Amino acid sequence: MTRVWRRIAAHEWRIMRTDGLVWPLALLLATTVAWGLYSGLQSRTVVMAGITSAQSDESQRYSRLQEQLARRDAAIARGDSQIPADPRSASTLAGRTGSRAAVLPPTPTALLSVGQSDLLPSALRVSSEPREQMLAAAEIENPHRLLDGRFDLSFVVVYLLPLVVITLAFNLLAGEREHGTLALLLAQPVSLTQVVSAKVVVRFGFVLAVSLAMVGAGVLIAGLGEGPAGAGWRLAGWTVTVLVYVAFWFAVSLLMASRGWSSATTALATAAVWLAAVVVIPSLTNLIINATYPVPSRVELVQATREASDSASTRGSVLLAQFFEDHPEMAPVVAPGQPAAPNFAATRVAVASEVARMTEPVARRYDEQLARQQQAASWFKFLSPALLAREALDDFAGTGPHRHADFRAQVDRFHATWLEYFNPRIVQRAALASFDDVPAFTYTEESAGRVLGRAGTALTALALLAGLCGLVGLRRLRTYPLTHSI
Amino acid sequence: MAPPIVGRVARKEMLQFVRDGRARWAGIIVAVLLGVALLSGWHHVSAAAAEQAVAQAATRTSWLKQPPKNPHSAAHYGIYAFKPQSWLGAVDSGVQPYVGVAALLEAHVQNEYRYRPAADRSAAQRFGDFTAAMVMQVLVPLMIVLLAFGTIVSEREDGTWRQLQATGVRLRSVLIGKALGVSAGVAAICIPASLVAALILTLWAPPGVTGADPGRFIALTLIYVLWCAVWLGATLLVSSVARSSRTALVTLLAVWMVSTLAAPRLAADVAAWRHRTPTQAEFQEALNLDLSDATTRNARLQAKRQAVLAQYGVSTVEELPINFSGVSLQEGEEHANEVFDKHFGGLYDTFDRQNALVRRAGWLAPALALRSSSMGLSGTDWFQHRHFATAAETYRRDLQRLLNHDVAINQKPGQTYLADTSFWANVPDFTYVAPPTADVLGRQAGSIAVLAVWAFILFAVAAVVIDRRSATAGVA
Repeated sequence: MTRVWRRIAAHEWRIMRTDGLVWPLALLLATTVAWGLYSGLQSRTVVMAGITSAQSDESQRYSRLQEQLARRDAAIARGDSQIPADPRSASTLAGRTGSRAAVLPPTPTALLSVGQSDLLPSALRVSSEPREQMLAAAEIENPHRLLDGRFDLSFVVVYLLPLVVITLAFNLLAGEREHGTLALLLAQPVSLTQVVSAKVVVRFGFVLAVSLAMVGAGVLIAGLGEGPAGAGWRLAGWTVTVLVYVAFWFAVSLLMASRGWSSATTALATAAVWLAAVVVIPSLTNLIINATYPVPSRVELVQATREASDSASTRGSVLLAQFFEDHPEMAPVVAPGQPAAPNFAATRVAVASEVARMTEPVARRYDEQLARQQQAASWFKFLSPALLAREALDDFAGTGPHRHADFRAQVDRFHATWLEYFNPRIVQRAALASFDDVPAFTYTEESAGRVLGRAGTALTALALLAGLCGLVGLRRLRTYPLTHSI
Repeated sequence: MAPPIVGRVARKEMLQFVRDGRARWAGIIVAVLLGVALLSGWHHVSAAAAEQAVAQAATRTSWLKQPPKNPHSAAHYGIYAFKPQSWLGAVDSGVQPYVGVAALLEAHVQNEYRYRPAADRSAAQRFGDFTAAMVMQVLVPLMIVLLAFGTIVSEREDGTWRQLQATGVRLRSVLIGKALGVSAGVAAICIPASLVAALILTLWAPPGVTGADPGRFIALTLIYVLWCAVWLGATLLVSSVARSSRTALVTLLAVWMVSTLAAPRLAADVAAWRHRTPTQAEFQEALNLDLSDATTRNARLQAKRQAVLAQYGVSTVEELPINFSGVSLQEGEEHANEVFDKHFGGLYDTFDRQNALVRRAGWLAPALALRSSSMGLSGTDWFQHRHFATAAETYRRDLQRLLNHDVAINQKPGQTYLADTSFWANVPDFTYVAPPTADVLGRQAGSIAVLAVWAFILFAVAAVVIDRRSATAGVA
């Protein structure tokens, strides 16, 4: 940086400071950032409340079970004739009574973006109930609010920050040219690139300083909460995303400014790019993804499950016999000539396993189609910088679709383990030695490398786009018309 | 009779649009996007309606094919209610992606609608559905702004306004002429689009959709005409008072941004803050607490037992000519129904209150009024989801009553009672009738009034201002 460049930058800052528009704009930006943070904080509180009550529900159920066990032990000690049923029996614990809360704890940076956390539940209840039913749980929310989306920081960054950038930058050159001062300025020993870069850097610094200072203050006041570790890199990644996204919009503004249009036309053209990138393309992308990889509504799955369970229920006794053929080790030992006592729990297990087996192809078709759709979405996001930025912001806040999908996959696996653990015990009418033997779920956080890799791809694409727009803009400056002819 | 100047000004404006490349391109893009949105909306609704019809028929078949079993087992087996598609959902999909599509109507439980389509879609869903309503709400106002922001202020800038005054024409007539000219430009895109939409939706109305009534379509068209009028009024007003065309443009874009992007979110935040939505866990806990309230339930059952004994003039349950277990099951249902009405009713009322607050905020930001009445007329708002859910719940309660009644009459004490397969046909099929158009229109009257009043005020102020400013008009 030369002294001249610094002088231009300082002068530019002096002009900006005295401009009547800049401070109201800064105030607006600061207010929206504050509102966005507040909104994110509210949302995190709601998610935490859901998690806490799911966990306290579980511990209440287990303390009731403990009391039952104590009563039973007392009855046995007293030698009562009526002994209460054992609450540790596998069939009791596998059902709703012993169900475990599987929770996705918010990350320390969750307040930076609401993401999908208002739509997808952060607490699921795992028991022997069918997988589809377990995964269908949803958080309560007014559907109109889900439709509108939240006024969170992601919204402020993705939608509003670019508009602030455009307002500050549409007049990079056209104004000076229209006033005739540009030619005069370039009569000095400076290049056009130096002038433009100084102007951009001052504005860039201004936008970042205002928004990041607000976010920093907000985070300090609100605190990051007691989430899983990773506050440092998540916060850093989020900040870099904002930086790159803002840089992208300055690059677009530079590109538009270098066309040599009037300031009004430049403003309109940049606004049109914003409209396309932030509003039209994401929504069109949504349309295209849904049209190319439509995930059939769950209506079909519901009906398939129902038919499978009808068919399995009618074959209950046959299925049970088959089940014992497959698992001879669990078959009841019956004295010759004596009929076996009916084992309803075993029939239920056999029927449920059969239903799961029969619906598995339909469920798998859904999951595969969903995966294909996500795959398509991961390509289509490159069409819009807003989609790229949103994904990276949500990823760093830990509220994006990927972390939720990971959580659901882990819960799904845990559910399978659960069935594997309990089914044989139910059939054998076994009781667990202790309540602590009931499998418990803990979410294993995605590794930082995986999140960084994913968000990094989006960020790199965004940075490349920004670099491309900036370079083309700078090149165009060489042939920029310096004087204004009406 | 309008003075000839009106027609001449309107013609000049139109000619200007036709020759202006920017306006032409904006018009073509908007028209194409509108067409794409309509087609895909129609396609989506047709596919979803077909799916729903098949599933609803299948759940009925499953019900009818049940083997002989106790009616209470059948009550647990239940019947699914699948959310039907609304005809005009093709224009405005509203909250459809965010409400569940299926609920099991079974004994003892009022189930929530499960499987929100949005939960199965990529994160791009949260940027909004690309529908004709979105084009009309987001892009058409921008097009109006683009066509008209300079229409008066640039005449001042160019110095032609003074010449116009010198000819002695009434400036108000010029304003009307300009309004007509811009309207013609917008109409050139929207009228063909709405005719095509009407044609497609009427000729190929997907079977099994609800609310397929031309009245709704006409009302929907009307509110969008009013919406365009609001924007035209706003643009002409700003163009008459702005000091430069640049100021006019920036002002209008800022208004657009606030009204389209910020207002709905802010209003929803404020509404949620005023009327708090419970979390799923809180809701479930409160519901379970009331459901498991044995004292109330037993008291009810006791009272019912006395009443039934008195009715039949006997002193013990065993002497009754009917089976008391059926009565007791039904009494349990009645108790649960009261609890459900209290909790689900309370929750749904909270949503209603939140939405009413957002609608009232329409007086401040007419975009909110438009959004809610567009969804309302399209049959895709919360109100109509609740209407469907209520109808399905009423059906569930009737179903339980019928089955429990059968238990009471036919089950003999100490015996296993199985109802015949033919019995299942006694249960009427679930048919849903959407609220009549008059009701829906009545609900939207307030929002329509908001739009009409805003349009009128904006035009009136523009007409007054333009005369006032005429005295001092000049290049700012």
